[in-house]
Amino acid sequence: MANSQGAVELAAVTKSFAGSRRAPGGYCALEGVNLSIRGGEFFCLLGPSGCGKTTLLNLGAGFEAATSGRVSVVGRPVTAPGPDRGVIFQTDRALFDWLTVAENIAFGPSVRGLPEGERRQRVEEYLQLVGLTDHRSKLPRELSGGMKQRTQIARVLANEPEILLMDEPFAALDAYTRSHMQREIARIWQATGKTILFVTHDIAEALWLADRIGIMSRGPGSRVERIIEVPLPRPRAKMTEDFISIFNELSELIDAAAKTDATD
Amino acid sequence: MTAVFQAEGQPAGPAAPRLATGASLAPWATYGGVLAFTLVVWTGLSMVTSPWFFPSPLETAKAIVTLTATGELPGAIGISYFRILTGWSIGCVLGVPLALVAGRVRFVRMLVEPYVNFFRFVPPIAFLGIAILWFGIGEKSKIAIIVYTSLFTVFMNTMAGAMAIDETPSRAALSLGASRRQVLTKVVLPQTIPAIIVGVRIGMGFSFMSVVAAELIAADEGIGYMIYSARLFVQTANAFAGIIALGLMGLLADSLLRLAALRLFGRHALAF
Repeated sequence: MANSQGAVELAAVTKSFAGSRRAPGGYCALEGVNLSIRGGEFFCLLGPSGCGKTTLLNLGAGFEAATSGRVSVVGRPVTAPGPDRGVIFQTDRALFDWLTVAENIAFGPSVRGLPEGERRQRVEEYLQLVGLTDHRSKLPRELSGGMKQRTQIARVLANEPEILLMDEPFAALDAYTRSHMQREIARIWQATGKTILFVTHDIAEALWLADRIGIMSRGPGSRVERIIEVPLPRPRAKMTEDFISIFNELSELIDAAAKTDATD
Repeated sequence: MTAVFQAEGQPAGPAAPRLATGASLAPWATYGGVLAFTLVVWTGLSMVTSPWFFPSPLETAKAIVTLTATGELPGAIGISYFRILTGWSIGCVLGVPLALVAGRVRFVRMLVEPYVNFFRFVPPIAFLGIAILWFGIGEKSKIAIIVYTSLFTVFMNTMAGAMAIDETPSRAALSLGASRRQVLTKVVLPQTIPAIIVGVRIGMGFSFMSVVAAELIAADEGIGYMIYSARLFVQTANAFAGIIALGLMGLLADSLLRLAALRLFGRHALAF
């Protein structure tokens, strides 16, 4: 019953950060989070800023450990970062800026000791998939914002991870590039069949991409308040009547979640 | 500011300052203008004073020619360069690895920092007497002073750089399957290279200061000694010649260092 296990599984997960002199009580970011993401699914986590979306993703990536509860990926408990979970960061500083696009993509296969031939083949394959073949010898600083994020995506895919964890990957891009990258990631998801956990605060983006959307409540002690199946057919067109009505519905749900503790 | 206006199709970040320098108009014309201005002011000053007080550019040029003909100037340049490069190299070899470890490992930093913060305020030249006592009046004591000077400067700057590096690439490397050791050698070290280059360059500058101070006090050859003995015999033009030689020596050494850095690490976001 591997499928019922879920690709990403969080059970009663709580995450609090130790107190400092300024905030002696510490801070409880997540409290009692339960979440199950199906294999091959595109799952978006949506919520107001400061609601712990990134914290949840960091737990899945293994960058941080849960204070209590269980985090597992494809049945294995998460204890550290690993190549089975590819992480795409919001910031382009995540790229190795002294390596070319091709060398960035080859990094994972190379540190994991893949044979030279296979390594080269994967680099070619994913350069092509993200449309960067002509820019393979450029350094990250010579790329545009959208191309940098494509490099990050290709670098992660070249490792052939089971899960992609994406932390607001398009938030720093301009509107035109963002909508282009959204189409690209939808295409890449369909071409590779990976499970994607995608964090965003952009309702339209979530609606455009996700099979299901998890709405988080505002912190401290955030939870996944509700999970919504997106009934829109693919490929999705923006601004249809259905799209707008679900958009409004979601927007109200998020407002409601945010009002739990409206401090700002 | 670059981040605010960062747009699709426009590379931002470290490449931006390079664009700024590249865009300056005809650099040689600017340098030539500055040089001409300096010579005019210098000549003017020498005309209202005496050659013993303020020798003119022409007298200084004559002194340079004479000192070169007698072999005094080339010899002094050679010996000072030898002292600087030997001491500085040893300082870099010791300082860079120590700084990298201290920058990355909190415990090591805590062990080293009290010493650094204490000796930081002790100028190298204060150790000259002790260095002569320990290493003798010869080359060793002067080189020891340069080692001390460059070690500190290289250490301080490299450690600051190693501490300030962004953690995101390391996280990315870990989730791409790199081991802790691979993260250190393949991510942290390359990220620290710009800081190392800055440290090594500043260390070179301070080494020039120290060598002259050491030679002024306790040497019988070298640029510092040449300048000092010129003062004793009121050969002010010779002192000027020595100062010009020093400036050019520094300029040459720094240019070569920058050139080498660009050749070797041109892909890294170097700060020049």
